[in-house]
Amino acid sequence: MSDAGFVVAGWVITAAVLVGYWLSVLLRLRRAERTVPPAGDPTADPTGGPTP
Amino acid sequence: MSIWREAGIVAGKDLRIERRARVVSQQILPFGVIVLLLFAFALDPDRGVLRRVAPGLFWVTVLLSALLAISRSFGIESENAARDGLRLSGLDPSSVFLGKALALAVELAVFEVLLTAGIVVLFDVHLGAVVPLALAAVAATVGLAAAGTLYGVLAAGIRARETLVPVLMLPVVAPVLLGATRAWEASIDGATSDAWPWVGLLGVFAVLFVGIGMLAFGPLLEES
Amino acid sequence: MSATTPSTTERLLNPWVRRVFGAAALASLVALVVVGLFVAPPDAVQGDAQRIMYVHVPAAWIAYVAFGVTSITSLLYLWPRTRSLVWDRIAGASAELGVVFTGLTLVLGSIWGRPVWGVWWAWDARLVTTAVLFFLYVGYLALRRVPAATDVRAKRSAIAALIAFVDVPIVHFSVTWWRTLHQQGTVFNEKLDAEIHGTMALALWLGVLAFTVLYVYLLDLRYRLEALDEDRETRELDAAIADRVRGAVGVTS
Repeated sequence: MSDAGFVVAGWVITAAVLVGYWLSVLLRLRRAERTVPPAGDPTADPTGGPTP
Repeated sequence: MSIWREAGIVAGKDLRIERRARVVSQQILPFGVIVLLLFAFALDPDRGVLRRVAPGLFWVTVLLSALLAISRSFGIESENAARDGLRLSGLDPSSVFLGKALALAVELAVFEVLLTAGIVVLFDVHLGAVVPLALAAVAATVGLAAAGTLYGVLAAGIRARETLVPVLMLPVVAPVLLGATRAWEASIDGATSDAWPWVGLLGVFAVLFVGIGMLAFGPLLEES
Repeated sequence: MSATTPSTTERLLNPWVRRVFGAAALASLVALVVVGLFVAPPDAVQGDAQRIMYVHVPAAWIAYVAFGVTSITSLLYLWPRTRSLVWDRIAGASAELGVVFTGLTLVLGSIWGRPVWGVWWAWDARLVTTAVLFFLYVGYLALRRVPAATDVRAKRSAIAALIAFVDVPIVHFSVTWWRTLHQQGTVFNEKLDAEIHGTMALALWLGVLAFTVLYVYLLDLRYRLEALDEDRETRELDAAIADRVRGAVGVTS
């Protein structure tokens, strides 16, 4: 594998890990927000959707 | 009552239980020797490999056996509401820590002496400079006992205790393995001046973890 | 119990600041790709392989920042006057980020080492210390997963984090000492540091900046998740206790 191959592999892995982790947190967050108590509960507050 | 007197009471209790149950001598020590045999099976016993790596193998074995001893040290506290007993006894938690760590250190020390005989016999090791060897072992043992008692109480009430303590503790005590092995290698080679810095490191580790243990044992015992 | 449960709007950054950080992270990461892969020149000694440094070093930086954050917030939680579950949540969130960035650092270090050293791993002091740090994180996260009341878990985790924090310098020192006193072949002596100047320095600092902004953004995201999970666990526990009470009353009446 040429040097360029290692460089590309390294950066691609970095991108994959960062994007993958970001999506994982985002998805878990969405799932957790869906289990929040219904709107009738005055202490609950719709978060207005997380914006990435 | 002075902290040492209280610690002595707790250490005495643990060591009396051990004298009756003989878990260290009849289970953990055989485990240690078996591990030495396994190393011989896994490595080449004929070309001096075992002799050269003996210090490392020795301390790895001590580390793994210490995990068993720690598990046992807190296993005895999980029956008959013993932990509640410790909490309500009126003993200073720092003393309880010192006592349990002391008992653990004594058990490990006896184990190490016998295991040393094991590597002398099985791996053809000549011990060399005994003073730095012994001091390194003392410092390493105190450090392991302190760290072990600390993580033991941290995990005391947890069901996954036996798999959790190793994963928490082994990275933390890596310097002990490093230092003890290097000190022993230097002592066996006769290069004692190389051993002393590592003995110093082991000493620092020991003092640090005894201190941390005395501080943290109480809060952790409350929650266990 | 509602006094102790977090509201569902628990967060670190307000939504506008969050969006700014997110956009800034994206922009600086794109800039990093451009500068690091195309604008900066290849290294005199290592050639193009040195470009991995522009992600490896920032990742290592964040690995240690995250660890520092977990440690400091653990101390803040344990200190009675500053005790607040906010610190515990940040500690947990930062630890998970730390595992990710430490793992990434190790993988990138390995990928960098292969063309430069010819091996996938070398017992370089910094790589070894980072490997130990990785396992300290993993242990901490395993401890956090143990089912327990929120404050019990917080106290236990905080103590474990502080022990690890005190230990890292000892590990670093002993490993460095070990590796410098025992020089193996020259191939392992080659340090990963390259001569840094001009656009190479720019790329490196850009990487550090981009990863730091990204870390803050991700920390807020992960913190919100931690707060919601904690809320849900408390509600589930309350419901289970209420069920138990109802059941007990039913039996005796």
